[in-house]
Amino acid sequence: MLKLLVTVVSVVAAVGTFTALWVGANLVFDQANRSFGRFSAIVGGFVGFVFFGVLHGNRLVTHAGGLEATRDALTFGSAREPVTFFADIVALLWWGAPGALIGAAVAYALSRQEDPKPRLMIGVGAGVVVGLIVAFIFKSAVTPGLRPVPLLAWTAAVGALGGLWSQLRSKRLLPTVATFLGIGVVLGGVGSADLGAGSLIESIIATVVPGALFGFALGSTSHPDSVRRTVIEQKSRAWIFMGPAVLFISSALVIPGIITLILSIRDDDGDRFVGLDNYSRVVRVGGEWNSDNFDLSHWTDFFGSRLLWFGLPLLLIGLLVAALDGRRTGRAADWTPQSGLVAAAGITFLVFGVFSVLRGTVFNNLWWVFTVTVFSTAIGLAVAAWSDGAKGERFAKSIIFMPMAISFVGASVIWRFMYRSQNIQKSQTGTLNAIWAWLGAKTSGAAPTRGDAPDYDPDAYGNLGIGIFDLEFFSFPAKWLFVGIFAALAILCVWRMLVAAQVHGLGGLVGWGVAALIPAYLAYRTASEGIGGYLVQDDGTVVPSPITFLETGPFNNFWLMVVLLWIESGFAMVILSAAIKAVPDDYIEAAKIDGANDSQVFWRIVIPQIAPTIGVVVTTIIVRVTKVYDIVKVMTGGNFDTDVLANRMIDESFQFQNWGVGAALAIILFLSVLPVMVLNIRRMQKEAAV
Amino acid sequence: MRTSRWKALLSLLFAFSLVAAACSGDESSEGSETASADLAGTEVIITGPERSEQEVGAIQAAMDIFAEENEMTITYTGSADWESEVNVQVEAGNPPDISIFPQPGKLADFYRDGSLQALPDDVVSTVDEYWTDAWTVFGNVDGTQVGVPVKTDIKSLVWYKPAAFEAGGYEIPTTFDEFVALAEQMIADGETPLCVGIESGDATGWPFTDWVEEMMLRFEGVEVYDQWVNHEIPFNDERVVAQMQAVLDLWNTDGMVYADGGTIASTAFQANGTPLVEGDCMMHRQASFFSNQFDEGTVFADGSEDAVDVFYFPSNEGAPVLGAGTLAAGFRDAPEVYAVLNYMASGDYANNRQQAQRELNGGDLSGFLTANSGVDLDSYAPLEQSMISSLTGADVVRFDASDLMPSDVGAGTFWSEGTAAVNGEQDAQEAADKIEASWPA
Repeated sequence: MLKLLVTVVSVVAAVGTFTALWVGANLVFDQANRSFGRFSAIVGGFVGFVFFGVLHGNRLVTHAGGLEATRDALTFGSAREPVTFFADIVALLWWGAPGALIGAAVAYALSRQEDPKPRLMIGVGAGVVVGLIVAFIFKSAVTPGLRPVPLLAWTAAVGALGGLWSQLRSKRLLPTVATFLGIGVVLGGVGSADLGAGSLIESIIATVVPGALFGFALGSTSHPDSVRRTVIEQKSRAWIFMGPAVLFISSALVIPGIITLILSIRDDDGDRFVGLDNYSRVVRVGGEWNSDNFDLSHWTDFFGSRLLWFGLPLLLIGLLVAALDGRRTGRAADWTPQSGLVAAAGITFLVFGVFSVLRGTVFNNLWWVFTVTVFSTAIGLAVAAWSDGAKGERFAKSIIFMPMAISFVGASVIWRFMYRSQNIQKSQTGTLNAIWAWLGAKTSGAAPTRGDAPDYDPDAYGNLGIGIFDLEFFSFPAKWLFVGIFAALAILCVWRMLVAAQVHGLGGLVGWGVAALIPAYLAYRTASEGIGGYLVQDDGTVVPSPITFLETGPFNNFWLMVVLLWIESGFAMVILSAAIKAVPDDYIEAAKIDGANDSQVFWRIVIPQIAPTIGVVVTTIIVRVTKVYDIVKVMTGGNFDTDVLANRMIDESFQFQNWGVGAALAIILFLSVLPVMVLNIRRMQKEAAV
Repeated sequence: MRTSRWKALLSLLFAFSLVAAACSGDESSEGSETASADLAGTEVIITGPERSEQEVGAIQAAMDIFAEENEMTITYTGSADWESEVNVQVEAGNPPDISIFPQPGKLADFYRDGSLQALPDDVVSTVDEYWTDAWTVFGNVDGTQVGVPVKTDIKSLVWYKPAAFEAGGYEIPTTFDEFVALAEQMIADGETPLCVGIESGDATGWPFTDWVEEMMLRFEGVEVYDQWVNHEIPFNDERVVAQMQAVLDLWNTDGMVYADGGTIASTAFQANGTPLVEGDCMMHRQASFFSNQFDEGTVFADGSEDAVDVFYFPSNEGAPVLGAGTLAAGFRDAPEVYAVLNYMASGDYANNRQQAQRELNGGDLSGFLTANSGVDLDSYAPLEQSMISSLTGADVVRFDASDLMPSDVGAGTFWSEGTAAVNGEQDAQEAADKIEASWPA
C-alpha cells in the first residue's frame, strides 16, 4: 500500500511540479518588466535552490550534516524504502531552502544596486560565502590536496580560452576571463587534485577562489535598463518552451554521455586519471595488437582464399565488359546493369575475403555493417521494384515485412532453431541441416533407391515428407533428378544470354553468362560426388554430416548477419517501395515515349529519383547495425570469433567490471555512429529547408 | 541607497546562518541496534543465480517458514543474469539486502570494496556450529567471516547407467588409469564412452574448466592447485597447459565423445542427460546438481533397468573432491538481515529447504546438497545420502577454481579461450597464453 502511495504521490508531484514550473516560469518572466527586484529574487532563489540541491546529491560533500541527519530524524532509524523516499524529498528541501534564500538575497541586492562598485562587492562577497560553505561541507575523504602544476596549468589554459572567447564573441574581457578562470580553478583544484589528501585550507582555496571569480563576473554585469528587461522577457519564452525537452535530454542522454566520457579516461575502478590508456588498450596490448579487437594474424590466408580467386575474375570481367562497351560509346567505361552487378559481386567476394581473414570485434563489426547494409538495401530495393504493381504485391510485402515485428532476441531464437545441428547418429532437427543432410543423402549416390532396396526406409536418410523427393516413386538414383534440375537452370541462363546477345552488346549478356556457371557447377558436382551434408562411414552407410553454422568460423559471422538481414530487408523494402510509388508517372511515361525499356526506366529514372530515400535507408541501417548486440548475445555469446563491439562493451563493463575499457568501447561505438547520424540530420535539415 | 546595501548584507548573513545550522546537525543518531530487535513488519530481499522452478520454490518456501514465525516478509528472486545485475545494482547504490554468491571471489571483491557487511559474532558462531572449516573458509575474507555457506555441490562425479555397465561387463573404475582403460574398452566394443557438452549461454565453456580443475587436482596435487588459483604460478605454467591439453586430447580421441549438438562446443551442458539414459553414451562427468537436468521420470539408484547412478570420478592417488557451492552475504547493515543470515546458516534452513525441494522435484532427488551438520540425512534419497557423506567426509575439498579466480579470468577468458580450444581454433598452449595475458594486474 505504501509503495502504491509513493507511486501516486510521485506521479502527482511530478506532473504538478512541471505544470507549476511551466506556468510559474511564464509568470516569473512577466515580472521582468513589472518588478525587476521581485523577478531577480525569484530567479536567484531558483538558481540557488538548484545549486544546493545538486550539492546535496553530490557524493563529494558530507552527508553527515544535512542529508543523513535529516533522513535519520525523519525515518526514525528505519531505512524502509517509502519512508526514505519522503525523507529524501524533505532533505532536498532542507538543503535547497538556504540555497534559495542566498540566491534570492544576492539577486535582490543586485537588482537594487546600480553603481558598479557595490555591485562588484555584493557579487564577490556572495561568491566567497558560497565558496566557504562548499569548502566546509566537503567530505573528509575527498578534501582536495592541491597540486600546483595542474592547478596553474588548468587555470592558465582555461583562462586563455576565456580571453579568446571574449574576443571572438565580442564579450567584455574581464568578466568572461574571470568566469573561465573560475572554471579552470575548479578543474585544476578539484578535478585533478589528490582527493582526500588535502586540508581544510586547501579546500577553501579550491572553492573560495572560483567562488570569488564567479561572483566578480556576476557583480560586473551592469544593471539592466527597461530595454534590456524586455529583451530578457522575450528571450526567456524560448527557454520556457525548450526547458522540459532540454531537461529530459540532458538527464537521460547528455549527462550519462559525459559521465561515460569521464569514465573512459579513468582507470577500471574510476579512481585515477589514465588519459587515453583505455583507448590504447582497446587497440594494442603489450606492444601487440589487441587480438580481441584486431586480430591480423591470419592476413596471409587472404591469398589462398577462394573468395579472392572468385572475386578477382568477376571484378575483372565486369570492368572489361564495361570498358569494351565504353569503346563503342567513346567513354572510358559504360556500365550496364549486368556488367555492374558482376563487378559488384566481385567486390563483395573480395570484401568477404578480406573480412574472413581479419578477425576480432572491430573487423567483425565492419563486416556486419558492410554485409547487412548492402544486402538488405539491395534485397529491399529488388523486392520493392519487382513487386511494384505486380499481382499479390501486398501479400508478398507483408510476408517480407513481418520479421520487422519480431524483436532481435525473438528472431535470434528462431534462427537458432534453423541452424541447430545434431549428432550424426540422430536425424537432424535444425531446418537448414535437415535440408542439407537430405540433399546429401539423395545426391551422394550412396543412399539406396527404391528399385534396388525394396525394404528401403526413407526415414533413415532424412525424410522431408515430400513424396517424390523421398524416392517413393523413383527407381533410378535421385541424384540424376537433381542433375537434371541444375542442368535445366544452366541451359535456361544460357538461352537468355543468347537471346540477349542478339539485341544488346556484351554488357547485356555478361550477367546471364556468369549466372549460368552456378547451376552448371552444381550439376557437375551433383553428378560427380554429390552435394549436401553426408558422410560415408567405413561400413559404407551414409550418415548426415551437419554444418555447425554457429561454431565454425569465420562464416559463422555471416550466419549471424543473416538474422539481421532478414529483419532489415523488410524495413528497406517498405521505405523504398513508398519512394518508388512516389516517382511521378509523367517522368516514366516520358521516358517510355522516348523509347526507354523497363530496365532503363528503372536505372536511369527511378533510381535517381529515389536516391535520397536510399540514402536515408542506408544510413539508418548503418546506425542500427553498428550497434548490433542482441543477436550475437543470444546466438553465440560472442564465442567462436563472433564478438562485436557492443557485446564486448557489455562484457567488459558488467561482467568483468572494467568500467574504463567498457566506457572507452562505448565512446568508440558512439564516435563511429556519429558521422552517419550527422549526415542524416544534415540531409533532413536540407530537405526541410527546401 | 545605504539602507538597501545593509539590507542586502543582512539577508546574506541570514542565509549563511541558515546553511550553517543545516550543516551542524551532526552525529545526532548512531543507529546500529542489536540483533535482538523485533523483526515484525520488516522486509528482506534476497537475490541469487538459482532460478529453476524447484530451487526458487524451495528457497522461498524455507524463507516463508522463518518469515511467518517473525511476522516479516522475505522475497527471493532468482535470475539468469544475476551476475551482471548485482554488479549494476551495487554500482548504482541499490543492492539487494542479501545475495547468494556461487563465487567466493566475487564475494571477496564486494567485501573489499565496502559493499558487503561482515557477519556479527552471533551469526559467525551459528556458522561455526553447523559448518566445518573446509566450507566456512570460502566465506572468509582476509580473516573476517562475511559469507554464510548455504549449499554445497560435489563436482567429482560420473553419472552412468548400472544396467548398461552390467550388460557390457564393465566394472566401476577405481583409478583414473582404469577410467581411461575402461573408456578405451568401450570404444573397442563399439560404444561411445563419454557425453560432453559445454554450451551454456553466457557461461559457455564452464564444463571444460571443471574438467581441467579435476585433472589439476588429480595429477598436480592440492598445493599446485592452490598456487594456480592464487596466481602464484602463471596460468600458462607448463603443468596447467599439460592438463588442459590432456583434457583436449582425451575428448578428441576418435569415438570417445558423443556430442548431441554435433560438436562439443555446440552441445548444451543440459543436453547430456537424455543421451546417457538412451544409451548414446555410457558416462557423463558432471556435478551433483545435474540430477535436475535429467528428463522427468528418470529414476535414480533404485536398481531398476533404467536407473541412473553415480560413481566418484576416480584418482590415481587419494580421493580429492572438487566442490562448489553458494554463500549468502548481506549488503545492508540491519538486524533483520542478520537474522535471516543466521537462519540460513542453521540446520533448520537446510532441512526446510531440503523438504520443500524434494517435494517440488517429485519426491525423489532434491538436487539440494549441503554439508550442514544439522541436516537430517534421512530426508534424502539414497543416491544423495551417499553424495553428502562423501562431501562431509572428504579430506581434501577444493572449490571450483574458476569461481575463485578474478572474474576477468574465471568468468571470462578461462571460459571463452577454453571454448575456442575445444572448438579446435587453438591448442592448450595458445589458450593458456591468452588467459594469462588477461589476468588483471
